[in-house]
Amino acid sequence: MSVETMQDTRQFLTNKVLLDPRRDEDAGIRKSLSYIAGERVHNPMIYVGMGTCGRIAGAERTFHAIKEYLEDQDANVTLVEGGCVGLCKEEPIVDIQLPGKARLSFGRVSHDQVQSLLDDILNDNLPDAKPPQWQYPNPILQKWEGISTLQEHPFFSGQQRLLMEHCGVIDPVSIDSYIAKGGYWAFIDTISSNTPAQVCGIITESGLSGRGGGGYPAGKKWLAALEAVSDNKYMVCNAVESDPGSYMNRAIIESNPHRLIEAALIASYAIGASKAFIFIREEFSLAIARLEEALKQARDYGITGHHIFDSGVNIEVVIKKGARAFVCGEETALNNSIEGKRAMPTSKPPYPAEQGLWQHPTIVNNVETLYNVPLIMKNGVEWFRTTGTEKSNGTKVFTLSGRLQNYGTVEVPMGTSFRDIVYDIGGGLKSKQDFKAIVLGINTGSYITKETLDTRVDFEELKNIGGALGSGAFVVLDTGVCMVDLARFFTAFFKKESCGKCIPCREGTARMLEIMENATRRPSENNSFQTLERFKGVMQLKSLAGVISETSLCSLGKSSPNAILNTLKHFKQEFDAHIFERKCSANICTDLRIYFIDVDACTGCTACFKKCPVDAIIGSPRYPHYIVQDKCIGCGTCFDVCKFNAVLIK
Amino acid sequence: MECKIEVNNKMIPAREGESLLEALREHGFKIPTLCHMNRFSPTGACRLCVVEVEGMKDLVTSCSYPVKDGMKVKTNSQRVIKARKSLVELLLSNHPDDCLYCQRNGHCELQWLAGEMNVKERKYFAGKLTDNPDYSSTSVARDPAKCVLCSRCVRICEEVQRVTAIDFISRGNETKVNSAFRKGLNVSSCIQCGQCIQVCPTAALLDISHLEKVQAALGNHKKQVMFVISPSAIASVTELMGFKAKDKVLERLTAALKRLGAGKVFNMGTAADIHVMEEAGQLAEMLKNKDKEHQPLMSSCCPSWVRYVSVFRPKVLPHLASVKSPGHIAGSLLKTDYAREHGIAGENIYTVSITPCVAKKYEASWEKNTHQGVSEVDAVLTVRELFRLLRSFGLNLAQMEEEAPDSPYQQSSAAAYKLGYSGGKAEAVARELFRIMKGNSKEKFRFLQPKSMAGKRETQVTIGKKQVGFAWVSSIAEAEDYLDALREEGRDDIHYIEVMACLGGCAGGGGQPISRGFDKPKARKKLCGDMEKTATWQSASENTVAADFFARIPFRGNKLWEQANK
Amino acid sequence: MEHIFTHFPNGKREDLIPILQVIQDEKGFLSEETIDAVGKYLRISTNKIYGVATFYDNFRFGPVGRYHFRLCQGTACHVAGASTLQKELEKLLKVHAGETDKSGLFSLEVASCLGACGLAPLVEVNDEFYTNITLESLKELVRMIREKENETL
Repeated sequence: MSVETMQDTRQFLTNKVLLDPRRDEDAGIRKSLSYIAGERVHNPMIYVGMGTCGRIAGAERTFHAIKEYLEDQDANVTLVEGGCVGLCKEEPIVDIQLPGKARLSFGRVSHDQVQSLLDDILNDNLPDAKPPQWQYPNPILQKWEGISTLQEHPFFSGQQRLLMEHCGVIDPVSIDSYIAKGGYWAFIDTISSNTPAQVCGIITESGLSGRGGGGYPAGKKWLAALEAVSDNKYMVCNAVESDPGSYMNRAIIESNPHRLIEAALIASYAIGASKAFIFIREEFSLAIARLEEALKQARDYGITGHHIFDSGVNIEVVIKKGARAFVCGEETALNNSIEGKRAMPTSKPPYPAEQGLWQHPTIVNNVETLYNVPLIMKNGVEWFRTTGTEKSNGTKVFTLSGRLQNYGTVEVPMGTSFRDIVYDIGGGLKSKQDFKAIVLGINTGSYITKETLDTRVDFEELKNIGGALGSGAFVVLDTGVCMVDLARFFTAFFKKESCGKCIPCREGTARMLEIMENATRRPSENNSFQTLERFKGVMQLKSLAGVISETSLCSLGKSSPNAILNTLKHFKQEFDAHIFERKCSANICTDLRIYFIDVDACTGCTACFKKCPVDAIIGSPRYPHYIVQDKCIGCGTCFDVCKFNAVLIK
Repeated sequence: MECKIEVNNKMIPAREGESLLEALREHGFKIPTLCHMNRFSPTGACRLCVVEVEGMKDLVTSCSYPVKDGMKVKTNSQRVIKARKSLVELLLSNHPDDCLYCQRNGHCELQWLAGEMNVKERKYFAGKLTDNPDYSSTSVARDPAKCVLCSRCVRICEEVQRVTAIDFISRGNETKVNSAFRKGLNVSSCIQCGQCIQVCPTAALLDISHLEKVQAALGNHKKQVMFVISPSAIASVTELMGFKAKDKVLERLTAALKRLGAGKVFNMGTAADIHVMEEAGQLAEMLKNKDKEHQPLMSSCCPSWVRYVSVFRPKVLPHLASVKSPGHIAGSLLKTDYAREHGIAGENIYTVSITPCVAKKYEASWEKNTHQGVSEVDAVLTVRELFRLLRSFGLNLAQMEEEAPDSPYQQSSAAAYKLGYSGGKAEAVARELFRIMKGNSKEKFRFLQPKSMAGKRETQVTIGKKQVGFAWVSSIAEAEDYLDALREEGRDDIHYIEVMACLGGCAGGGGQPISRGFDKPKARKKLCGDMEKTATWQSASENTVAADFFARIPFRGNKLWEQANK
Repeated sequence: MEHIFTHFPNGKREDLIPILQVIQDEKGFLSEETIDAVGKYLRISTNKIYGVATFYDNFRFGPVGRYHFRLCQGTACHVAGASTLQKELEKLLKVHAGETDKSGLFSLEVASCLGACGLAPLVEVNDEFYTNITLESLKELVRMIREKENETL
């Protein structure tokens, strides 16, 4: 069956695919679907990875260069603005698929390399100067010789891409491609053959737990909302993602927005909600644009709105843009923000599942948690339970960053060890320094150190080592990073993001920050009073941290002291060195060190004067030089270049 | 549903679903709070009320935690005590150390908490909070440096007064309570009621002080300072000193103020009676003319209510009675009639009202109450300021002799005392109206109180063949809701509404001694009732002095000043 | 601003933040007049609106500079030295984070995680991204901008 026009496509997909549960059994339908999905192509297809990470790397220029080339050549080639496959290091990534042949991925394609690349490949020649990074193997397509597959690439071999299976592969804003790949099947099947209670039961049985850091069983939350009695119920998707070290929610929404919509629909159905909010940060402009486009398509198809596919189910999906506050990630604060108020959390109990938005039952779920939902409904509980560990089912998506060779967005099955993620998937450290720690999400402040590298990604195992999984940030640190400074950075973050409602968080984070600043900065006068204050401050840290975590209103406050406590636990010697010896082994806390020039030893050679990056040294040739302390950033360059040992450190 | 919970190893009865704090306090357990306000939903902001509940990993705030049968609670474990102490220490860490110079020294909740928690050292050093104090308003002074962000003022301004003149701005450690774009209170929508002052735990909100100018006037030998004490202020002083109605507080105050150097001390009661007579007269005219447009007539002696209407509900303006408030009647009389009779130049008279109201300070600045730059009331002292004044001169009312207030404003009718609480004025006006309209009828005046004070507070008074509807509301929220209800139900059986912006009427006024909860306003109301019994006359028009003046000089408009200037 | 209000016909409290966002997108920032107008339309006190707007980082009450710098201060960027760069950038632009300079040329905003952690540290200037920046490259960038501005004067 050939599907020619858009209208035909839509009719076909609606009648033969969405509404017919036996869609998979017909070989003809399967073939049509593989063309609609872009798995097979009639004409050459060029797909440019254009997520935010890609754009920052220059993908837009590459895209325009390709567009111009194709227009010049008047070539019959489909050009797609795509999503992100996850290996941000290789961006801009350009995929090229010739009819009948496997899809190839080229990495680091800058705009000036476009011409030669396309000259070669569009004429069926593999370019010598720029070989492809990998190919997507497919039994129905011809394999390219000598090119490794995606699965063989060290970045991808350890991953299990369930949530990310279509990221960087499908056109994000093509509902046809999404449906052709199996999208919305789960939703339409669910509303016709499962009751809401059954859906809650399935999700509960699957063991799916919150991926935002809480780890709370999703099905349990849904059931509580379903059982609450109310005319109005709401489903809220938490796409706030304000952790300063992660962007994977944004990346997967940019790459596959339709799945989020499908998940929101299923979740709304499961609790009896008629309105779903996707609360997403305003800054995620690309994700919002794609989500809006996808939503429009879904509305046109009749997948959202009234009387969906004649089922009697009404669900409206609305996008709400957050005006930026980290605390919006807390569910009650998020609800207040949707209501148009200051995002201040409220006491729990009552929990949002009983009294949430406008006092109605509301469930708030993290983006990653939701992305699992259509898969579980489509493939079943047993399928889901085959991935992961006994206590932690499924996968976890991380944003790898820091001192790694390979960075980007990855999805690993629960049970993968952190060592494997760092050294296999991440490709090891990119600097010559040694591995020091991995810091997981800021709301946990957990560190994985050399000693605990073999811990596996698993809620229980992390709890046993006194940590937590977090939302998915995964920043790898080497010995060039000062842990005390990092703890200070996190504390400053919490102080800035505290909502200010409760005393322990509002005042406590400010006090903790002052203590940490004392530890990492040079005091104005190095006298004994200040020293005493410094010691006192540190001794009080633990006690203060205890009060803050025990009495804070919300999880932001409760977790604000974690960074400091974990640093004290794992890196006590570094901490002590800062306090007692005023020494920073990583040479980051440059304020601790005072560089000055010994006028007797200085020959006035001007070497330091020339090299100082901030022009903090004054002096004329052959006269002793002088370092202006206010301008000095403590980088130590003068110390390094002086041949006469005239630069001293106090 | 009744149940039992275990608190500190002791079983106590409680009700399922009520807040743990309520249950604990009912049974005598002392739990400190800061952000908690009775009859308001809990916010859980200050965390001071934390307790240990078995099964919960962290401490929970008892104000927002519901009672469950069989729960086990500890209110005084080491963890809890340490937490509460640390929280107060954190509050103190950036609070200005101004206690010795602070007006709330000795009456400050933060001071009290520091004492209760046994805070002995400055544990956390931080920069002291500084901020620009705002003295722009006529009535309410703000000093944000002393604010502990308890949210009480914001909530009362928003939920009870429906004004939201101030709100939280910014976030986290930078949070402050202020109005939009940090402009002064005088240009915000503030209605000057001072309810925020009543609920503020520290000196962040105070009244704008008139003490300095009163003291300056007292020291100026050219000026004759004339104090006019409102009956509700008398009741308030009586209550605060622990006196009874028979203890002649007015006479003691007269003696005390005379010692200060007051030229004259008067009872505002006569002015109050004149005011009631005039307002009843307006109401009678409205009824006689079957004037539906101005129905219901609403009281306008509450300056906050007048301001609220001007800013938020201008359509209600025509309904407001156009009668001067008692304080301004007194002030006008003194500077014109009295001055002429006693041969004193009007500009040498310095009138000082003593009232439990901060909005009167605002009223004194109104253009229509000033004549060529001179106000009818030169200064307004709240009851709080009065006490500060007496204290600074070492005057103790308990040991003061008695002196009669100056003639002719010495006594008042019971009606004057009725103005001191919500519902009283309506009754006083009703009684006057009855007298005006009953003609020769021998029937008796009956003012039936509504069965429950919780619902709409209104009553119908039978005057001859007519039924005249009286209603009274206190707080703007109640006023708004009542007006909305009248409109929605299409009712036209209410002819007069007494509106007081403060909860409980003047008994809960912004200038009253600061107290939490509703006990004190209730006590003041009761005292007003006791004092009604000791009043010389029952109804306003029986006040011979008032009746005499009323016959000579009706107060509609500013006729008195016109006459004076002739 | 009627054209904005027509998109929110119900005029409810939950429309407050979206309305403010649309206004800021159009006018660049929120002024007293706009907040007054929103207050009248939604029948909410302007003090409350100001309180809501100042809570969130994205709302501005004054215009941004002709060159608006957004410096990323995510964890990976911090680890790559972004905090030191912030201090230097403030000195170079002569403006504090969150402010616009007096001449209206530069303004600086601190963002958390722009989403390119592998290219840290990075800064966005008027929709253009500069990755792997150093103190030197920042100095050069600012110098170029100042030169360009002087040319057009």
